Amino acid sequence: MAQTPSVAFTVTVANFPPTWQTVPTIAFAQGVASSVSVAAYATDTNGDPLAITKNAAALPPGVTYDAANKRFVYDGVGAVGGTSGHVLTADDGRP
Amino acid sequence: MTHTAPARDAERRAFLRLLAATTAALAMGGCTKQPVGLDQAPTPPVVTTPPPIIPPTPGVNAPPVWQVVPTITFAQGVASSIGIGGYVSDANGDSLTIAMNAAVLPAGVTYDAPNKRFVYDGVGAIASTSGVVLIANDGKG
Amino acid sequence: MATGTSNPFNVGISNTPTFSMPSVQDERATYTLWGWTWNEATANPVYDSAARGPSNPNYIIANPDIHGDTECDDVWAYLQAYLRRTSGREGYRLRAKGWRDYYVNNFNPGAPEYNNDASFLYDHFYGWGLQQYATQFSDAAAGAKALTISTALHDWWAAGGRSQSGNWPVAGVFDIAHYGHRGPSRNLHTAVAIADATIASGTPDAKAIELRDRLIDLWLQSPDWDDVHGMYWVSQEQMVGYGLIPPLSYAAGDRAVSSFHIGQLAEAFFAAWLSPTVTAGRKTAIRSKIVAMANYMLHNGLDPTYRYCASELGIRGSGAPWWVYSLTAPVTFWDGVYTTSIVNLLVMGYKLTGDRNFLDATPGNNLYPAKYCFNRGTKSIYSFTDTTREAPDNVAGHFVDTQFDSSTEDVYLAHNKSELQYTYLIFENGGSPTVFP
Repeated sequence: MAQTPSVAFTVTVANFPPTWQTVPTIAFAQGVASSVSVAAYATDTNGDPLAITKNAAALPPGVTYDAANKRFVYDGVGAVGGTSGHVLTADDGRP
Repeated sequence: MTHTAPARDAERRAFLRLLAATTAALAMGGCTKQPVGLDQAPTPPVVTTPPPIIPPTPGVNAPPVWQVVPTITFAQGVASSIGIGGYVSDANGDSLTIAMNAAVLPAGVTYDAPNKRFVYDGVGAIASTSGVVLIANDGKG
Repeated sequence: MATGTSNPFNVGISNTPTFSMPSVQDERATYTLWGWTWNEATANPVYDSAARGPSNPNYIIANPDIHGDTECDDVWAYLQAYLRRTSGREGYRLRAKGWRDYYVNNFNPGAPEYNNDASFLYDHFYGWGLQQYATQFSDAAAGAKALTISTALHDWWAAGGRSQSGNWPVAGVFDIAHYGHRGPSRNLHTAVAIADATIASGTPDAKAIELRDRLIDLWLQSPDWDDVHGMYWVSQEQMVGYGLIPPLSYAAGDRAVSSFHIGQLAEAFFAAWLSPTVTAGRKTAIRSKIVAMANYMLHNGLDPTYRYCASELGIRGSGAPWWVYSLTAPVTFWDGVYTTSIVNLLVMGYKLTGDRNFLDATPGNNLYPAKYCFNRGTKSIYSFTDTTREAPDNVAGHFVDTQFDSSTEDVYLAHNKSELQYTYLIFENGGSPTVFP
């Protein structure tokens, strides 16, 4: 019988690190208290829940990053202004 | 001034157009909501030519031929399957049975020979097995 | 720890309106966020010429059947199509202008189509698009006509409207949704737009402001509001008109609503809630109504068998939900436009509560978030099977308001004359709409 073996290969069960869609400019209207969630922009192929933290770049006065709820919150008071260089890190809790 | 109850707008008009539609219009699948693309002839699908198969020498059986099988990767936590039948071919067109060697697969992963695929149950932990080999048999001498 | 980092981005506070119409780029970003693919040339074609159909080479609107054919403020729809994109858009501008010209020059008392819709309780009168056109292009004639329309509506309502009583209908007594929600919704939307435009220009129009506030109060206090279920129901007379009685029975407690009418009401309420001049008390009450209606549609908007919102739906006296699919046997056609009609309302539920169930939770029986309804509704093809669809779940078949209705020789937009009016909120911030506490 004609038998042919394949070349040896690997079968693996793996964790995938979280991936990000492009996060747009997070824009608030002065005087209007509101929030924008960032949860939707990060995904995990394994379906792991993600912790999302922000870097140390300073936010405009009146805006905070609410890590527990994965959102930026504006108090409606802070003056017109903006800052750049914000980076979010999603952690899936796996080694 | 008297007034009549307004008709149920979209549905009433759709119903009336339905009554007036020709068989051809009905065959096109509707009245008021045809996508604009139906106005033109549909574009025929692109047909890609498969790579040529070297014809076998008459009277001689050709053994199955394997492409390189890449790492088979499952996402931990996600039940899924990955077929491997596409990585092997037989010039005579023989149907193939594909067996796996004695490598011990990661927990939760099994080789499903009748369906020529690896199946992961979505539960097994992160792990990796190297040295997996598949053997294709065309059942001919 | 396995981590992934985002791109660097900006966070800003600016003097922008509370809400701005999401662009086509926002629409692309939303589809990308969802993991959808599309063919740009076919899903979002360049549209530089208005000429469509043999009888409208220059897109001139003459003698339209306002009552019978329009289901959207066509000036608004084409103006948004023009403003949302930066290229391939001249055709949309010409269409907006074509409707602007019609309204400015020909939409007058005495014109047959004007009088006809007036006899149907002014239920297809618009004006907010004409007002925005006036502001966008500094078009005084368009602004003047928008004001004229608003004044005509005011004078009709001040004389009793449907009640013909000789004075304003009485809030708390007058069942405003008697013949359906779309007429009084559109009238409110017109009043909000003209009131704010005239206030902003320094010459507040007292009639527009009065019409706006009176209509808000009529809605908020209307006896056809069902606080148990969170919905305004139509009258028994209208249910008969819809052909629902029998098998339904008003006396037995069966109630009905037309789905795209609710979409029109949601738009009017949202405009009032966004207005910088509507009182805080009215806004609070409007917000409560929006959230209640969104909650109704989240759980009972779609028929669980076909996963479409029927043209009419509601509650039986027993409390069980019904859809017209389950009333008429056998079901003969499916039309996804009604499913599309509730998308903005569901996104409003998210924007006003932050509850992701409204926006993009995993759908299930009796849970139909906005993203799911957008997918179901916009890809449905009006047909005689419930499974005929334009594209798979992860593909965008067409961008909203890029297709035309061939049964009207492409004069009108396809999909019940505009999908954008019911869906634009889902594209805000590229798919993560701003939430208000």
